[in-house]
Amino acid sequence: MARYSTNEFKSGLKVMLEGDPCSIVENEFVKPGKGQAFNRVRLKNLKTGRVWERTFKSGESLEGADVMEYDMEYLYTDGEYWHFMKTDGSYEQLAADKTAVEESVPWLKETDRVTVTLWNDVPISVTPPNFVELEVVETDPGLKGDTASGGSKPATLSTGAVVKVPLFINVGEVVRVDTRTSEYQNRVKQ
Amino acid sequence: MLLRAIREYFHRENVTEVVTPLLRPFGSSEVHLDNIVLDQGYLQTSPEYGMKCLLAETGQSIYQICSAFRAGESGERHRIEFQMLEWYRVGYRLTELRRELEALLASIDSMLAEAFEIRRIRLPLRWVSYQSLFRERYGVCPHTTDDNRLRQLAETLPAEHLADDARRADLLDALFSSGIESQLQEATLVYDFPACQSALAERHADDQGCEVANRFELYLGGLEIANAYQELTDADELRCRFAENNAIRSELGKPPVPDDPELLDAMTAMPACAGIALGIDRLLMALLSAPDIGRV
Repeated sequence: MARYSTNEFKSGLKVMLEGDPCSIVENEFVKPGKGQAFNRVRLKNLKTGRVWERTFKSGESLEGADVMEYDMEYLYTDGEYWHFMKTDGSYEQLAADKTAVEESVPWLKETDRVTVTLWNDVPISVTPPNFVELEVVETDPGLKGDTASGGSKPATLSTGAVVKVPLFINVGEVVRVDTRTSEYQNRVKQ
Repeated sequence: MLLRAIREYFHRENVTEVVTPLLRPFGSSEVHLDNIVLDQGYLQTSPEYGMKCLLAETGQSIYQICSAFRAGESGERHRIEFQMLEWYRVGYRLTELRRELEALLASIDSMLAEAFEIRRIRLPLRWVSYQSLFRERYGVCPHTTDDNRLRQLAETLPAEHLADDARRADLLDALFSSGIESQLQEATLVYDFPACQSALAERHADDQGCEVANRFELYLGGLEIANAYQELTDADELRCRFAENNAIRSELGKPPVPDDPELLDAMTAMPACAGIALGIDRLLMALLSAPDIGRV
């Protein structure tokens, strides 16, 4: 894999840091007056999702990470692996293990489109769409006509995710949820 | 418009505009400035050397607006070629230069504010010592604390770029730029820099008796905008500083820069003066709240 020098750093570049593949979020060239130049870089660890802030001497280099991202369709899980299929017409399938899907499992609905990140051809993370529509399978009975009081209650969705929904939502209804914040957006009329 | 405001100001003040060569046979030996070296000479990292030679010759206050070149400096706040305003006031002490900088900024500010929506400069400028900023942030004195303690402090920052044997000046720079600079949003003058960061400024004792560099820097919007020196006029001291720079350069594997004999000669005839360099692109960035130097 190629090495990238600090002057090639830009957001989105995938590099290796401490053995983990990372994506550069932000890169700033810093040079205090007549001081030593360096780059202040924020990197997202693609395995853990954690963001690191590091500085690099200008001219230093990092090894590139063999990271690919694919649009895929979620097919099913056999309990041990989660299976996805490429949407580029190749119908190629991939299986991701629990560590890779852990964060996104509550949002995975069969046939939904997701982004699968591969490092050295192995899936390391799965990003669900920003918004998903899921059916409520369990919640306290709704209060009829109460669309304004602003109260909320927990509801379990078909994927097992638990989100706070307004009081008027009933079992069987479909809600739209922001997967980045786990927040209810609105009710979806079927 | 900004250039016109600057020229009108100096015209009123009877300071002569000069032009010195951007390409000279000698360059800067500053450790962390990389010269652009052509077959025919060095593209100047600032007009300082040329202007000092002229000062020695004429003994008059002068100013110049020109391009300056620094290899490898490219980013949101840096460009390899940038515009610099540099001026020297014969017989001035830094206090007088500070008043002048405020007067210049006031006229730029009022002229630009008539035509554009700008971030106004609050005058008089806040005046604070390097030491008090450093103490406030790190709880120690930047002039008397030993290198090991500074190194420990640097370890609390994201500062992995520092070598294990980083020099004092580099440690201080990392601590200042990571922990303090971004807080200097309001127009601020920082004075009395650590002695190891004297460059071509005189040294003097501060009010607590520490030897410090007699210089100040202007910060605006977290950006370093200008850098002023009580100018060193001692040729022997200058020769020593050049030799130190080149010793460090060779340790770092950088090419040495030969001493500029013309500048050393000029030192003996150079009148006592204060000088300041101001980054014009940076000033515009701060006034327009632009995030990227490439846009101004």
